[in-house]
Amino acid sequence: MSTILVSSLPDYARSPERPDHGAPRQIEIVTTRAQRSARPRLAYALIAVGGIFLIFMAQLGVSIALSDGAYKISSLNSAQRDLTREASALNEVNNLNASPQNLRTLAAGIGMGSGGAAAFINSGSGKVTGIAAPAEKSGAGSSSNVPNGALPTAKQKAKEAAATATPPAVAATTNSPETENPTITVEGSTPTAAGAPAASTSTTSIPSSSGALPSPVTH
Amino acid sequence: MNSQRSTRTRLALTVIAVFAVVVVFAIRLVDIQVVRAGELTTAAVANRSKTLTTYGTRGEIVDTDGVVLADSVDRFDITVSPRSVPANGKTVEANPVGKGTIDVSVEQALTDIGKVTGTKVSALKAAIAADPKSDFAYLVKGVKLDVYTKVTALGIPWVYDEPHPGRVYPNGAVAGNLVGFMGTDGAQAGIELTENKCLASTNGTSTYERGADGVRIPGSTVTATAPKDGGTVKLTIDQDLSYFVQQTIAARAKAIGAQWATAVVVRVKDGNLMAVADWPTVDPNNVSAAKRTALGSLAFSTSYEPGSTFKPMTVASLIDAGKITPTTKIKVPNQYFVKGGEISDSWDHETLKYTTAGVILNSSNVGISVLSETLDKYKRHDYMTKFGIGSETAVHFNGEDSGQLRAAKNWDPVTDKTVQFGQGVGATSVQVASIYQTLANGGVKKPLSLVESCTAADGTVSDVPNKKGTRVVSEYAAKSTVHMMEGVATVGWLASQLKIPGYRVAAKTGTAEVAENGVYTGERIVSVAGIAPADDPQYVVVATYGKPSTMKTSEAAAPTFQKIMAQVLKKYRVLPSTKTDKPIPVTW
Repeated sequence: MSTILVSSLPDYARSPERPDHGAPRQIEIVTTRAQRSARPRLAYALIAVGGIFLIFMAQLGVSIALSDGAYKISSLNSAQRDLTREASALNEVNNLNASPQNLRTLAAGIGMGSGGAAAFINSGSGKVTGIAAPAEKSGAGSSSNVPNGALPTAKQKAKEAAATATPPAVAATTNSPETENPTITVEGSTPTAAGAPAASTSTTSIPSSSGALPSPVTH
Repeated sequence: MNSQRSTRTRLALTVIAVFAVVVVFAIRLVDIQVVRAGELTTAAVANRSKTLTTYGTRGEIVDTDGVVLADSVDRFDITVSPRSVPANGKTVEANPVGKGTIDVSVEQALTDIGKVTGTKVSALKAAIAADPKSDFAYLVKGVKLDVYTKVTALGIPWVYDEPHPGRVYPNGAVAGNLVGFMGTDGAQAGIELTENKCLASTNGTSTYERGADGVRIPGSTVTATAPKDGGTVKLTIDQDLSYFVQQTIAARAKAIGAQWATAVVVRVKDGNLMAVADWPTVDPNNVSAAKRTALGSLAFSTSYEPGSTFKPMTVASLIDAGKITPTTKIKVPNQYFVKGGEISDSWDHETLKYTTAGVILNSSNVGISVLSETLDKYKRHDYMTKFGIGSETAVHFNGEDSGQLRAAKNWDPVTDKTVQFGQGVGATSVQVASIYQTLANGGVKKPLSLVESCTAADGTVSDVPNKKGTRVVSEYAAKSTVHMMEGVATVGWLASQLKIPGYRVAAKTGTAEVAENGVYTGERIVSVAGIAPADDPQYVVVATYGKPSTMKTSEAAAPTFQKIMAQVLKKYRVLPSTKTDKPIPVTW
């Protein structure tokens, strides 16, 4: 930058138009065709910038989709794990319910006992082999002969029944679908409760079902 | 000029400064990107990545019908970070009726945990108080899924959980003696132990990079070793039948005051053990409640002098050797003298005229001794070896006993004869069952099997037992021996207790004296071994009671044998016998 003051300059230097030249001479610099065609074009620049912008946007989109997928995979994985656990827990309950000790208790609850000596009837000749003996008295024999520690004891059952009967704080937390599984509390845990209605309905089930089917008439 | 120079100088300085900065950055860049690249990348990945142990599941043990006898289950340990438990006694829980949290006291939070887990609050407090500065303590161990779900739903911030694979035996003591059990150090007994190679799982690991929220960063590398689940072991045992057999022997053992009891059911055609019951036995769910002596299988591990149930084996051997026939006539004196001792029957009698069938029917020790004279002891010993006496069965159960059979050259004149009726020789219940399987199968011994197969997680099947039979005696010898044994269940003194209407039953009783400290005592081991249907043998049942106190004859075992055999025939829908064979004369 020059530090020379304007006032120290000669006049001609101060005026943009020199007075000694008459009409201002106009010089037009004309670009050659080659120069013109070599000039960068705006359209290309716009395409390039737009392209880069598009690529960025696409990348962003893919990235969003991917991370969204990752969350989905993560939640599906944990859902799968929970469901596997639930299936395994239900399977466990199922196996326990099918155990002979449990069946014995349930059967005894509705008055059943093990069968006596078998007798066979020959359908061809009508001949009966053997003498059929009545079944054992219900609940005969000791159930502790073949114990099963996996089954809840009477004490545990009572405790569980009590726990399911107190809904306020605990039961209210089980309103999410995964905790609503019917596992553990219903089946097997209260055999007497399950057994009793079964026994009472069995006596009434014949007339009610015979309403749907034609009743046999016997003489 | 001066001003121009200073301008240039400043410009140069600026350029140099900028260049210096660029160089510094470049050096740093090279340092980070090239020199320390590996180290930094590792540190970064370690920061983001998480390695998880993925648990494989130990395989199931199932019975012949696929009923689960041993199962792997999910259990959870509820843990706590004692140092994170607020000292001011104020904490939060998840809002049970909506979103967010509610303020509760630590006391209340522990009460809630106690309520859902069935644990006393004092025990929970003690677990926390044990080491308040620690970051880890167990609150409740091994809870089931439902309890775990309830605890996690409480949303207490300082309570954590960890999975803890468990083992459960849904049928309890049914075949508990065979299935075995797991301890803290792994498999302890039974099939759990001997088939551990098949059952065991391998844990895997998976490593992935995760963001602040724990979710895997898309595209991050996962290096995983997949966990390998264990295989399924299928037993030949029938759970339903086992329960019946166990109930039956237990009830009877209690009634006659026996110290122990065993019962074995074998399918004749393939030597499959359908039930091997012991009393007392072990419930694998509650091992500590069982007696130490009952942790394995008595039927495999306890050898005893079996007594008269050995007689059919002796007779079949002698018939096979061509020395006798079912109708060979012999004279049976009251006492049979040998060098160094005498042999007598369980009842006093005049000299009797028995056939071989008569000897079996009346279970005469003297008769067997007389018949045994026809074959030298080395050959008789060989027959016993071929029947499997003195060696473990093909099952090779954990703790199995091979029994005691001394070399023939060491038999003194008394032992020479007593071994032929099951004294002075030891056998297990399964060995006795194997003898009867051989007789029932027309003289061809099938190796007994307890494990049907091991199916690995990928479906490959292994551990399939060898089913190749070996001929021990001729078909004629075996069949005629079975025919002779029919007399026991038709006209013998226990016939009324052994009969099964509709079926021909062949059986042999045994009342053996028990030797203690080298002397025979008043204690007895009583048993009945038999085959049904005799005309088309399909199942073998052996019922044995050790040292009964109130009934010391084989009458103690007869009702058990009959009940079990009747159940077997009924359960497997065996067709009743249609053919009748002429009885063999027993006297002459």
